[in-house]
Amino acid sequence: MRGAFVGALAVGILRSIAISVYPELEMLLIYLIVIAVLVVRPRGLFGGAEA
Amino acid sequence: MKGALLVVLATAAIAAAPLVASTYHVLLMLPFMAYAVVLLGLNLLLGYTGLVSFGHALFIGLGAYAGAFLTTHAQIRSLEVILVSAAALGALVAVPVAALCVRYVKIYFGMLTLAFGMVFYTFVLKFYRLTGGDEGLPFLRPSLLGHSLDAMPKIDYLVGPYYYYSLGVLALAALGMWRIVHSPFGLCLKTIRDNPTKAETLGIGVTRHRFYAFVISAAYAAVGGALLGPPTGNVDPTLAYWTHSGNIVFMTLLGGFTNFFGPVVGAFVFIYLQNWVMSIVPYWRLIFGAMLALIVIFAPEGLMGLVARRRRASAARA
Repeated sequence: MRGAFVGALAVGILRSIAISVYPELEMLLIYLIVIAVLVVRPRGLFGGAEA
Repeated sequence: MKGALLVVLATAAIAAAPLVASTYHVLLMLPFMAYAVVLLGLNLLLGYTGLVSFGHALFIGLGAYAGAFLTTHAQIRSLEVILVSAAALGALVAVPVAALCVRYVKIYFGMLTLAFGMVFYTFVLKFYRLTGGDEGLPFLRPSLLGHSLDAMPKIDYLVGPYYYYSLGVLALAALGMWRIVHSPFGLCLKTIRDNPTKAETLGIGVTRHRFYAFVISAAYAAVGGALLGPPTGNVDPTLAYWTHSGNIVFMTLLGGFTNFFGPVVGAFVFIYLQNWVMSIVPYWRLIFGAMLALIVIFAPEGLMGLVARRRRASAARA
């Protein structure tokens, strides 16, 4: 629950920032976030050790 | 032995097609041969290493755009140069992508390849000064083996020299892939697919082998992508879109990823079936979706798997 909420908020805000700063980046950003999360924290921000 | 005979017969049939089949159907063979090259590479990853990539359209797009860029901006028209540069560029881009992706398996691998594919798609779509945006780039007619064929009518060029050139590339690609999967390296990949833990115990570098398989398959996809360009004369971002990655995975499943030639058969059936279904109903995706579900449930080894099953059954009866 908490994860989905924070994730949605983070992606939404980052996209809005991208639109105002560098519009070409807006579509790209969402995939860059996915890559960053999968590479750095594959279980997500709040994911713990494997159950 | 029987298999080799079948391959020779199939190659002869493809070579004879322009003499007997209608021009329209011969033109459909061109994307088939290009996709066959892509799928030979994809299947090294999917069938032999056990990693499902949903981002191989990245490398198809890369190869196609490399060819379009060379012919329009660099005035390089030789198809040999284009194919070699596409393969080199595909492998080069695959190095960082593969290095990050092969650390994962299953859904994480799929998601990561998908994300990289979409990064490239967005790049192609948005940076229009370099890539032409959603209009794409023209892919000028390449010269074959040093012969400039610009004076030829387009259809004659495509069903004549270009057709046999594609067939030659496909034959070379298949020969190369056959050698790869039957080499000690290929055996290592199969061991990794079947049991990564055991492979590691035996001293096989699991991540390293997955990395090499990824890079080789990317180079193949880029070559196939470059071959897709000349028939349409234009490359556009949909080549790199994720549904395109899905299509090639579908072709592989349709033909059967457990068989070396399964993906090639899959590409052939997909192209002609799609063409036929599209001519009857506009909802070809609906029909293909249902077909994919049926294949996964009832024939997980695809068309070649069905053939093998029938052969086993008849051998058991005899």
